[in-house]
Parts: sequence; structure tokens; C-alpha cells
Amino acid sequence: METRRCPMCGQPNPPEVETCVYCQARLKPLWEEEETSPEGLDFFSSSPAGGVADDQEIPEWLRSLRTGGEKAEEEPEESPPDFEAEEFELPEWMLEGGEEEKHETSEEAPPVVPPFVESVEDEETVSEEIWEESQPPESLPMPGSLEEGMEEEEFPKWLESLPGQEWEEWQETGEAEAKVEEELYTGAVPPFISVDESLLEEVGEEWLNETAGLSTEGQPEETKAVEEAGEELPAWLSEIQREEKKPETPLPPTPSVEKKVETAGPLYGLRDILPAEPLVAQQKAPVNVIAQLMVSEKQQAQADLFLQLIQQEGMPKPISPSKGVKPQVLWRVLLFLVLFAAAAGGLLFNPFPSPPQELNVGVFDTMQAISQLSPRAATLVIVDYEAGDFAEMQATAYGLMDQLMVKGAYLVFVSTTSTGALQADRLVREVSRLSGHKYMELTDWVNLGYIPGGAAGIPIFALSPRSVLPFSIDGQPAWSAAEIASVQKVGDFSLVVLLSENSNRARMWIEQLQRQVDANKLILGVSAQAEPVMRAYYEATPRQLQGLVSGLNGGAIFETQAGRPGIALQYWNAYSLTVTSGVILILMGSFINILIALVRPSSRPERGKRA
Amino acid sequence: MRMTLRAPVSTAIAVLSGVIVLVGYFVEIPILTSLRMVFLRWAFILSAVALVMGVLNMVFTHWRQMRQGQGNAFYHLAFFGGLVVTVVVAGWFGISHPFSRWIYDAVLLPVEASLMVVLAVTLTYALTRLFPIQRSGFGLVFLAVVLLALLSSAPILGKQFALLFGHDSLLNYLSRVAGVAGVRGILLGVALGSIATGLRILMGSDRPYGG
Repeated sequence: METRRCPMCGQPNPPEVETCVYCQARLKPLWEEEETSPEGLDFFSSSPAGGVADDQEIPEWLRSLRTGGEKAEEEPEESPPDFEAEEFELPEWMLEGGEEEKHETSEEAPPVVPPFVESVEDEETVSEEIWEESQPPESLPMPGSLEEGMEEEEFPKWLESLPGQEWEEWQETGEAEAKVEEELYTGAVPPFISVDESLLEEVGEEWLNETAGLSTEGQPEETKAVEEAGEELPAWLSEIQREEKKPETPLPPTPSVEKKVETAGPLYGLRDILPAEPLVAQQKAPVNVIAQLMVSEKQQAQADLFLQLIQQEGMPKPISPSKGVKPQVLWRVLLFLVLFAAAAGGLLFNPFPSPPQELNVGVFDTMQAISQLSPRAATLVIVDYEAGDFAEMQATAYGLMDQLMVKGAYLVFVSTTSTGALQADRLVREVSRLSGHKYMELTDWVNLGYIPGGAAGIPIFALSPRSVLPFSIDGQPAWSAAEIASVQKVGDFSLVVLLSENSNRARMWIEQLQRQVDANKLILGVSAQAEPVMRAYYEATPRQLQGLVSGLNGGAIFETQAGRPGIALQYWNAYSLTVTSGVILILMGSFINILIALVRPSSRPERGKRA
Repeated sequence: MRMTLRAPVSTAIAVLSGVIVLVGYFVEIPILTSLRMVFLRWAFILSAVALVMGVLNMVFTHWRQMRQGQGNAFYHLAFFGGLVVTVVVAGWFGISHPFSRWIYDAVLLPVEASLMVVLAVTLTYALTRLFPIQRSGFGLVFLAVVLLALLSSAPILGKQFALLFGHDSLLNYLSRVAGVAGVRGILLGVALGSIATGLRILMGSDRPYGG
């Protein structure tokens, strides 16, 4: 993806933005630059304003320099410029050496700094360009090329101190000549680079003034001397003087550049801000560096929708105020009244005295396991149900507990629920009272209370129940009875009865006791809702349970088969009436609501959303 | 890079304890069995302490909310009153004392039983509105199964129809075949999930204890 990198902070930005999204710096310039050449950094070939200067505005000497430089670049380095082929004018002091010798040895000329080089500030960065541009054109003489025709005393003093004056020694040997030629024409470090700059500035200016006959003492004299020496100046220098004499005309204002004021970013308020370099500002950042999510518009729309849904979840939904009593409220009240009347009528009037007639295998196996118990056999009863399910579980377990009491089993109660101890206490007392048994605490039963730890507490209790729960819930020693004196682990009990309404809790007990208790010693009394899960253990091969009594239906069958009516049969009519009433109400309500939905189709979508 | 000793130490303790208990479950080595018993006993005691801590946390939470004026002050006072009365009665007289049983029979049992009654009425009401709202095949199947289960669980006005009620009834068949098959599938899934979770903890890749 193409991005525009901010010149201030370096962060990638989308190409269409004008300011940086990170630092607000301007990415697009206040004004558009004119199209520049690929060699945009060539200061010598462009005007100060950035455009290409008109050829007419360029002085003749500069035009000649450029043409010479271009030719020098085009020509092979081995071919030095032919100064003899063109005519050029020389200063007077140069011509004094003899006209006939001025064209002889231009290739060995010591370097002289041209005047225009002084305008270049950074000589180090543009040294090569300076060297290329400073090569004398064919029309200009090389001052150093005239030394052979001149007497030594006729040279300026400053010229004698230049390091290039050792040419005479080099000339004596062929190696020196080759070295000079190579350095001069192959673009190596030119000799004049090693010239002392301070000397160059001071002496060069003085030399130029002396050559032109100028005096640096005062302006009037200088002007006068220039006028006097005007005829002797070369053409290119005269051109410069004429240009300087022209009255200065105000430059046309740069269109809208000076009026532009930065209005964004850290450069806010500054005028005439130069635009960033195009190559810096518009670069392609590496793909792996860009920390932007590459998603399509469709994905972005879905993400926005998902974000909107999340935000709406945290917003409270207005609740429309109810207007009067709605028919649904009356329907709810009617449901409650009908169900309550059915339960109360069945419990009070006992309209259908017929007990359940079916045979249940699980109940039969349970009765057989209890019947095989010896008198006063140690029996562990696990009471693991909540108080809300006490009515159903009491009806389910009543017949089972009654049979255990008939056999005179010694009951040891335990639970993994915090209220299990009280549930067990109530259960044994209710069954004992209703069935006419006189079971006494510690004599006929003991309540060990609560086993903490859940699935972690069951195996430790199964391995050493005496050490885990040594006392009853009343703080009495729990294992002092003779019936349980031989019990060291849960497997030593003659029978283990699990009463639970929760399938997960019942499953936890079955799986933890599997290695400690034989399957033929384990029977279950569970609620109707836990029956489907427990039936899988009961009908497994081999069986993991000996018997299964489930729900009020199972309890009623147990009591019927045992011939000892109890709580289950007492609730049987009420249960039958309530279930029948519930089925009728569901059918009626469904029919009425379907009719309402058909009559008022406009309310369907709202109900559908609620569902 | 910041290094803490908590994570490797706690992970090592958890993995070592789990391996010892697991190996002691399968292999009858006396020392492993003894270590297994020790670890299980520690878990047993810590669970009991956690229950006490839960009660204390509830006390502090209600106390803080009551001081900050959050919630209904009546509920906070009811909680503190019930807690104090129950602890004093059960602690002073004992759990099996008639006073303690009265608290259970007169308060806890009716409250929870009434919630079950509300649940029964609410479910009946929801079933009456199910089919008009959920007009789909699954809604119809759900409603039909619920009605069939209710009719098969008790005789209709004292009459026991062989198709609905009894050993050869339709409900019994559905419970034995479809129900047991589905439950066995669920149990297999639970077993596999438990194994996977246990292995992850033993390997240290899953650290529910933090670190």
C-alpha cells in the first residue's frame, strides 16, 4: 500500500491526507512546486527559484562555463580541451608573457580557483560538482598554462606560494607529468583543493582587483578605477559590471509563496515553509512495517456492526410502562389457581384411589438388595439434595427408608451439601414417625454431617471415614456403635444408598465410589430429572448400580410393591391431578396464543425478537 | 525480562501433586498411597476453610455495602439477623436441637419449596407461549416431548393407558433408547473433556491456580 511518510515524525500516513495524523505536520506543501528535472539537486543548472533560468538571463561567462562543463562531461577524459581551437581573451598581465606561447601547455596548468566557486558554501558536499563545473571552458585561458612564456619575476607573489608551483620539478621526470595529467583529467582530487582557503580568499580578491586596476580603499576610487579599466576588462567581466550597474528592479513576488502561513502541525504560524522533499515525503514504506489492519470494506462493516452490538449491550433498554392489567397477567394467575386447586384437591379428597400398577425393574432390584440385608446391618445413606427438592425426594425415598428400618439397618448419614445434615435428620425422623418406627439417634442411626471438598473429599472419606468424620453433628463420637465397629472404609458397609436430585452430584459419587464399593451394594434414589443420566449407569454392562428408584412415580411403585403406603402414594392423586391439569392448560394456552398471534400478525416480529 | 518464581513453583507443585495422586490411584505402592492420602486430606481441609472464608466474605460484602449505602438496607439487616440467629442457635444448642430444626423446617424449607412452586407455574406459562413464539419444527418437537413426558409420568385422571404409562409405554421406550443413548454420548464427552483437562493441568499448559 502506498503511503506518505511524514517528514517530521516519520510515521506512514494515507496518501490522501494533507496533514500527518500523528503530529499534524503538513504533508502536502502549501504551494505546488514546478516540475523539476530528475536531477533536481543540480543547483548549478537551475535558477534560485527552482525553475530553469532563461538563457538570456545567464551571463555569458556562466553560459560558457556550462557549455564547457557539459562538453567536458561528454568528451572522454583522455582528450583534454583544445584551447587552441577557440579564441578567448586574456587579462593584460596574462598577455604579457607572449602571445605566441599562451596556447602551449594548458594541460599542466596549476589550478586556480574561479571566482564563482567562492559562492559555494559547502565545498565538501559538492566538491565534485565544483570541480566539474570549474573546469575551464575552451574559450577561457588557463592561467597556469602561461607560465612557460612568462618570466618568474612577473608572476604574482601569491601565485608563487601555491603548491602547484612544484610543476617544474615534476616536469623533469616523466612520472610527474603522468601524475599531473592523470589527476587533472580523470577527476581526481584537483591540486587547487589543497590551496589554503584563507590565502585564496584574500589573495584572489586582491589579485582580481589589481588585475582590474581597482582599489579597495574607497568606493569612489573603486568606481573610478573600474570605469578607467573598463576597456581592459574581458568581455565576461564587463558583462558582470554592466549587470551590476543596472538599477535594481524589484523581483516579481513569488506567487502566493510569501503569503502562505503554515496553519497546522508543529510549524504552525511560520511563513514560507519549504515543502518536504518529494522523495522523502512520498516513499513506499515496507509492507511488513505498516501497522495497519488489512481488511476489506465488508470486513470493516462487519467489525463496525459487531462493535455497535457490543456497545448496545451495555446500554440500558427502556422498559415500556405497562398500561393496565394485561391478559397475560390474568393468564398467569389463572394457571397458578388451577394448579394449586388440583394439588390441594388431590391431596385432600383423594379422588382416584388406584395405585400405580406397573412393574419397575429398578424398584424390584432395590427391594431385593434391601431384603438381603442382615438385621442391624451397617448402611451408609448419602443425602445429597437441596431443601427445594425435599418433597419429591422424601416421597421417593420414603419406601426405601421404610424398608431399611423394617430390616433394622443401622443408618449412617453423610452429605456433601451444606444443608444435607439437616435434610437427613428430617428425613429419618419423618419416616420413623410416619411408618411407626422408633429409630433413635446414635442407637439406630448417626449423622456424620458434611463432607467438604466435593469430588476431592469423597475418596478420602471412602478410604478412611473414621478419620475424616470422627464425630456426629452433635459432637458425639460417631463410631462407637457396635454395628459400625468393623467399618474402616466405605466398602465395609453392607449397603450404600445414594439420595440425590442432581445428576452431576450423583455421578460424582458413583465414579468416586466405584473402586471402593461393589456395584451390588450401591442403590440410588434420585429425582425424575436425574433419572435419564442415572439410567445409563444402571443399564450398563456390567451394572454399576444395584437398584434405581426415580421420582415420585418410582416411590409410589416401591410403596405399592412393598405393601406399605407412604408419602408417595399420599401425593399420588395430587400429582396425577396436577400433571393432568398442567397438560390441559398447556394445550389450551398454546391454542389461545396461536389464535391471538393469527389475529394480531403485527405482534409477531416483536415476539420473535424476544424469543 | 521479568522473572518470577511463582509460576514455576506453583506449576511444579500442581503437577507433582497430580501425578502422585493419579499414580497412587492406579498403582498400589504404599508410599504413593500414603502421599495420596496426605494430599487428599489437605484438599479436604482447605475446602472446609474455603467454606468458612466464603461466609466471611459474604459478611464483609454486606457490611461494606451497608456502610456505603448500596442496596436495600433491609436485606443487609435480614442477612445479618439470620446469620447471627442461626449461628447462635446451632452453635449453642446443636444442629439436631429442636430450635435448629425449627429454623430449617419453618424458614429454609418453605422458602426453597416456594421457589420450586414458582418455577412450576412459570414453566407452565412459558409452555403455553412457546409455540406461538417459536414457530419452528424444533419448537413443535419440544412441546410434543414435554406433553408426552407429563402424560406418561402420571395417570390421566387416575387412568393408566398402556401406551403412555407402564413398562411397555412409549415414554419408557424413549427413555431407555433415545434418552440413554443421548446421555451416554454426553457422559463420554464429559469423560474425554475431563481427561483432556487433567492432562493439560498435569502438563502445566493449563494453570487454573494462576501463575
